[in-house]
Amino acid sequence: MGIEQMIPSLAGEGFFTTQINKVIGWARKNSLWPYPFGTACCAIEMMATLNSRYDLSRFGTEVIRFSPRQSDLLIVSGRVVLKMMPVLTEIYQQMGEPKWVISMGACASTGGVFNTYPQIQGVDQFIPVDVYVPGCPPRPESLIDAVLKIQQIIDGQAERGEFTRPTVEAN
Amino acid sequence: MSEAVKPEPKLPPTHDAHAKSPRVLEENQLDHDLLRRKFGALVTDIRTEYKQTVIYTTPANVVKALAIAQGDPELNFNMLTDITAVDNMRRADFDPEKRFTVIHTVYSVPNKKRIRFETVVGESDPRVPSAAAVYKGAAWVEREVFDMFGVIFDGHPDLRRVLMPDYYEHFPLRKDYPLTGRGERDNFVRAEELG
Repeated sequence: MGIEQMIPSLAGEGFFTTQINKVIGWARKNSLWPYPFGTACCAIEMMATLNSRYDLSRFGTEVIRFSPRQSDLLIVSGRVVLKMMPVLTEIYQQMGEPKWVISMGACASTGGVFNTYPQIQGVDQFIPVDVYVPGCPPRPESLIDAVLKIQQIIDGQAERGEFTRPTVEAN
Repeated sequence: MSEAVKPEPKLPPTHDAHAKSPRVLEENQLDHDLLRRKFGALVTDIRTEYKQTVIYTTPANVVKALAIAQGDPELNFNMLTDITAVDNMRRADFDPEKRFTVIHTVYSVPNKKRIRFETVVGESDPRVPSAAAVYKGAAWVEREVFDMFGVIFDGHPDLRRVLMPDYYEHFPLRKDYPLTGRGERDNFVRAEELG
């Protein structure tokens, strides 16, 4: 399972030791319940990811919840406009801790091609984002990769903010 | 010197074929004399532009003209296709008294005819009477025109914004409003700061 620690003196005794946060993280990362904030074409790719061909349930993420109070992963997939941003903030606030956010696609991450008056130029200005998914729209493989990165954050292999840190120094 | 014989340029057939299309003729040509007889002094001009019948009218008369177009058994324009507006601000011959052109497009389903009514209103007081009493569906599209251009429809049952949020202060499709807005899209509070 990847959470056990073997202590040599206990080898072969029929039990193993571990840490409580590792056990909880192991349970959490394999039963993520996503809230689909689908507002545009990225949501179609998200549905494709959930379908049997790409089958996100292989990673334990198949229980889509339409109530933020029952979910721990917010997938922002699509454009967010002026009228929608307070709704998104409220949904984020209603989700119980611990919670993670995927910003899927160019529009959710940066505003995309819509440099216009109602379009939010990146939801990360107003809610914290853990993983960005590039693409317009991203392929289902990209979203699966993002979910795997969220799993890495949950079980402690990666720090929070590791995937949103700039990899190139700004000049 | 003998002139070389140039082959005659072969034009694509599209434009000519379009002009001869019976469907286009049937749908768009309306007899101007008939329209003048029906509308009388309510209209200022009747023209056919790009094979479309356009009736120019005034804010005071546009709804009366629409009522005739809908109620007259011969005209029978029973469907309101759309109401929209044009901001004339960037035109070379711009006149503040002709800032907006409000456009009512009506269609006759039995006769397969279409008319566009154009009404010019000024910048200082852009008011047009509401057509909601004539065409019920006008109420929604008039709200859109009000939301985007700030044209006020007198007698409208419920003239509120429909696309933009209620607190919005500007009319985004006016030409003097910048495409990227005036900072409204950056003016939210972060979720963590809301507590």
